[in-house]
Amino acid sequence: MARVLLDRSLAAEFFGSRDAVTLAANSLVALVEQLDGIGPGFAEIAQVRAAFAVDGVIVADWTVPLTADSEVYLLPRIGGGQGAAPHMAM
Amino acid sequence: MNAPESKTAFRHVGTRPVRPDGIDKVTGKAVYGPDFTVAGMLHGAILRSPHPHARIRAIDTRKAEALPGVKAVITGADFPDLQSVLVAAGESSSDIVHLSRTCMAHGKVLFEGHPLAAVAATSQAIARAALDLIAVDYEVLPHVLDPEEAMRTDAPVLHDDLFTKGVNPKPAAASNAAMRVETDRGDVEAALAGAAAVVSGRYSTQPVHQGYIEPHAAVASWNMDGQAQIWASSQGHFSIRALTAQILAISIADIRVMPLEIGGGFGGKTGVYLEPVAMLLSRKSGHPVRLAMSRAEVFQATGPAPGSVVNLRIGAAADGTLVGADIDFLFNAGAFPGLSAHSGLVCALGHYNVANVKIVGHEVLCNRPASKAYRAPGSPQVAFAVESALDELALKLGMDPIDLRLRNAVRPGDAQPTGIPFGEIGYAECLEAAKAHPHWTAPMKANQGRGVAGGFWGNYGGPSTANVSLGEDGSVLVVTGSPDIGGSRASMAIMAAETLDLPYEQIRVTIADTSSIGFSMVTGGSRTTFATGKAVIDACNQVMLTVRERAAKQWGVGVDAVDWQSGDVVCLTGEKAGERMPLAKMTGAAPFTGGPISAEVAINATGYLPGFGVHICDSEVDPQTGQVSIVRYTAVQDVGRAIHPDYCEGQIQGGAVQGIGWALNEAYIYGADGLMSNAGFLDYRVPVASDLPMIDAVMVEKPNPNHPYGVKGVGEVSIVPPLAAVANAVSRAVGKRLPDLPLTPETVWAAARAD
Repeated sequence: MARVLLDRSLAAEFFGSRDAVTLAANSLVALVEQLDGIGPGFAEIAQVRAAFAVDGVIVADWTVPLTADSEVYLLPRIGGGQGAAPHMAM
Repeated sequence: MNAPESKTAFRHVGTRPVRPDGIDKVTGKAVYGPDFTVAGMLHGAILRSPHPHARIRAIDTRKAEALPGVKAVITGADFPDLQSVLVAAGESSSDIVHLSRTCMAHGKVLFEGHPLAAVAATSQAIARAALDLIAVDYEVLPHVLDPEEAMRTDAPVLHDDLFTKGVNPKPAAASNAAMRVETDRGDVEAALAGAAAVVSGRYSTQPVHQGYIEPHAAVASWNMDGQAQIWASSQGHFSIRALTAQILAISIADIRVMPLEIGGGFGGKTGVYLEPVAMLLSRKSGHPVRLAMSRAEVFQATGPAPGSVVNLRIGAAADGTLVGADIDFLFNAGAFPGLSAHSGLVCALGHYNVANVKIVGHEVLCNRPASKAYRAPGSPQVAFAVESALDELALKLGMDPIDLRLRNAVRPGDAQPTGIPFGEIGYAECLEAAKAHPHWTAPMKANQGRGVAGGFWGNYGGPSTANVSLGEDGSVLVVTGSPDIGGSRASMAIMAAETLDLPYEQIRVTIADTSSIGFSMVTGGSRTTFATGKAVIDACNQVMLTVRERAAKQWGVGVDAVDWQSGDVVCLTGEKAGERMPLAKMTGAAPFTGGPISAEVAINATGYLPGFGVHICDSEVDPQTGQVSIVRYTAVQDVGRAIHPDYCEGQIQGGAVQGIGWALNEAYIYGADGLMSNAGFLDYRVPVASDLPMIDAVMVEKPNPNHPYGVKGVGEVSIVPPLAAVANAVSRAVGKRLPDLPLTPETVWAAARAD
């Protein structure tokens, strides 16, 4: 079960202002689908407004497997300025 | 003192070779957007709104269409009806309907200069004469220009179908507040209550234009078979292709965009204004059509950086440790949403550790042109407020302002505002370099003041494609899809030369059109040398492997027994041990050893690291007039590793100069009628060389371990510190805090005399 920490603004818009959710998703693609189940409409905007960090690393490939212990940050996507990744994820 | 040292590990990285595009540019041969022509081309012109806010009751184009020489007239009715959907747009995302309405109004005009009709004719004079024959019936509506006024419940609402995003529950009423962003941690009120010193204030900045020298221009040719070509200068021709296709509801594959040289962008050329309009005029007329903006059109109708209003309180312990910060900001987004306030949220305190934080931001719509990215979009405005407040805190605590920042500076492993840890960042090193610089302790004269400020920008990676091929004579051709704005042809050639261990002059770099190479994101977010450079390096490595594999087959050894030495391949074992084949021999024989040698690499680059800068400014204030002169300026920046130091220094100096202009001179001046009165470079005054001293650019090199040559983005963070560095310098010169930009002579004169 991956723990997903939700950005405050996206959470207010889609997820009832929750701080975090726990989901059984084996990839970020599956995670987006499950988040859409909680916040309908999220999947439609995810590719242009969302970014994910898994275990402290920004992940560009959403097919990378998630583990049961994965901690996922949902972040707003900005082309420049969304923060930095300490390690390569690819 | 600007040249980095310790470059002994590299042959090319860190050198300063002649720029490959230099000759064409200094001799005037380079073809920019407004220079381009094709046979049979018509000339276009755009009718623009004379009102900041009005409903379009009717447009009558019949007289214009009847004018001899006029070949096509279009209005918003010629654009497809689109469903509202968010699309990637340059460095951010926007609703495709809003992007379409930016190109051509439909139903309402939302700012002075908003396009509402366009003409193609056999000459520019006829096209402009035809504009005068278009009759528009307007219902003029109340307008609003100021973000605080636009937030009031009695303000005119620009869009009756726009509801504030980022709030729960969803609002019931439409609003000019397009988005709300928020973050918090800890207990801010308790922290401020227990602080040894607290400062508070309201800070404001004005919208400012990127000020690129080349106006927007495009030529489009849309054939009867549906295929189209566009020639335009932009920061990303793949973005031009995608947005034009989406706005016109046609296939991306039907459009081929040819990149022309770009005369400056700074974030302002990441979207479309003219291309869909030129396309529709071309289809209707059956001819290629060129549209080019005048300078006034650039000011009235293309996106500036948003203005801002920031209210904050920041508190510190007696030793200077920041204990709490409460920040509330508004960004003036103009007529359409699209510039995320989230970057302001991230950048406000991105360079400091503060335990207790609450930040709330709003993106607010007004009757001005829609904002666009401008170097580190969203960061300078909030940094101006925070770094001004830190200057006040240092004064209150009796601390050196650099020491105050050093005490709180983020370091590797510290948590970012997003919660994930920083990698190998160099903010503390920048502060140390600034403190050690002779400027920091140099004596000052009467009426002078010294300011310092820091800045943060996240930088980016993202998708890029590169192709590397070997010519029959062993020369190297590097092809990318990244427009060269800040010297990327030179940096790509240097990185290719370093990887291939070949002379720089043996590498030629080209920017290919959208049908000739795979996708690359815009040149923006300080990403190109990092991300496209990674793709180039990977492609070089693949080409070298191919050459070694072919030599290994010829020598009957494994590929590991073949070494690449400055382009030659050398056999290391077996009967052929010691034998050497020059690259030209390998490439000349390529048709007989497996075919041409090339590699194309497409990546989505991660591993980028943020940029940090620290600027020191000395100002001198004329006590009689309030006129501010910048007498000395030093800009320190962590560049990772400088691939071509001249270009890195140029980016640092350019950002500093633009930030100084933001601080001292630049602002849109509107009358009560909502019309801009300074839409030209004579009245909208950007700094020129004679206004400024030499900007001493000091590069701190803390390499990025996630890039083969240590690259970090350098193009944006340099505009973040200057606003506060200048304001702090002027405030110390006059002994009064100056919270509102620009610092015009009358503002400074009045502040100096206030009680």
